[in-house]
Amino acid sequence: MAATPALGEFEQVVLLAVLRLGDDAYGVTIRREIATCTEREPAPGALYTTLDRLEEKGLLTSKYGDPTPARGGRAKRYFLVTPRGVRAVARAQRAYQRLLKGLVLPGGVYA
Amino acid sequence: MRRDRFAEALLSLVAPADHAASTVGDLMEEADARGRLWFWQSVARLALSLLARDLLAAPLAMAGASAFSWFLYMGLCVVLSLGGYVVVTLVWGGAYILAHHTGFELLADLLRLRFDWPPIPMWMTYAIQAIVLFAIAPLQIGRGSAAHWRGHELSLVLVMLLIWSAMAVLVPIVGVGIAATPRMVPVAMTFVLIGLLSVRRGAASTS
Repeated sequence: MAATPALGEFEQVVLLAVLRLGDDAYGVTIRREIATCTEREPAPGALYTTLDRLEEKGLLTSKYGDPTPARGGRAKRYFLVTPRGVRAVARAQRAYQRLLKGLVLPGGVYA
Repeated sequence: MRRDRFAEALLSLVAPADHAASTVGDLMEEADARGRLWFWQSVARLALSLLARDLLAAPLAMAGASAFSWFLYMGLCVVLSLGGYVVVTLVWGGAYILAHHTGFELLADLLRLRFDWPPIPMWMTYAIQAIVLFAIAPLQIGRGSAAHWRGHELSLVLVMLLIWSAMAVLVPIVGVGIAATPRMVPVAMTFVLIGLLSVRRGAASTS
């Protein structure tokens, strides 16, 4: 089995947003989900290049939906996190949890 | 051209065509609420991001392909210039024979036409070389590269612009008695890009 790749912060954010959205994860909804959860709106350039990079790493897959007239006949590109992507983001989050453990930070104590 | 089609054409120079189309669809969906300025800002920033990513993804492969294409260009220039010279010489000779040995000489005299045999006029030699160097050979290089670099056209042309400018200084001979200069490279690159895009347009219209 291939080693789970290390993830950057924004890569984790994107993977988590795609996981949260399930079957409805495409460019617009991913951007909205990230903006809602992090209160920071990602630039389209950063988002789409990250999505492509994650797909190249095998952490995401994408498929095209049916073209819709509202989008000028263009199909939506739906993303799905692969099992490898789930493992990578879980591993990265566990690392954060270990780093936080025992720290006293504004907003709470991390046990 | 409608704005979304132009945006799609722009993005498809730095990304696969289907990715570019869906991305423009996403931006259009959001542009309804955010406005036209936001749409174009997003397209421009996205194109720059994808271009930067493209350039950094495989710089050595692109530089190698660009250097190789220069030598291919040199070979093409020699072959096509000689071919063009032979064809024009034959046509010129045919006109000479027609004008002097077939009874048409009276008509030629009447029209004050002179076809001297050989050589063909110097301006015609320069014209053949210029057409080959600036247009035909780069166009063929672009068409030949299209299959390998689909969705990466803009980054390839930018890398080729740099490499070909350097090669024009380092290995400037591109034909029999023809020397290339870095100043001619931007014109040649325009035709390389036209060649790249013409293949994609042909593929899109047949699919």
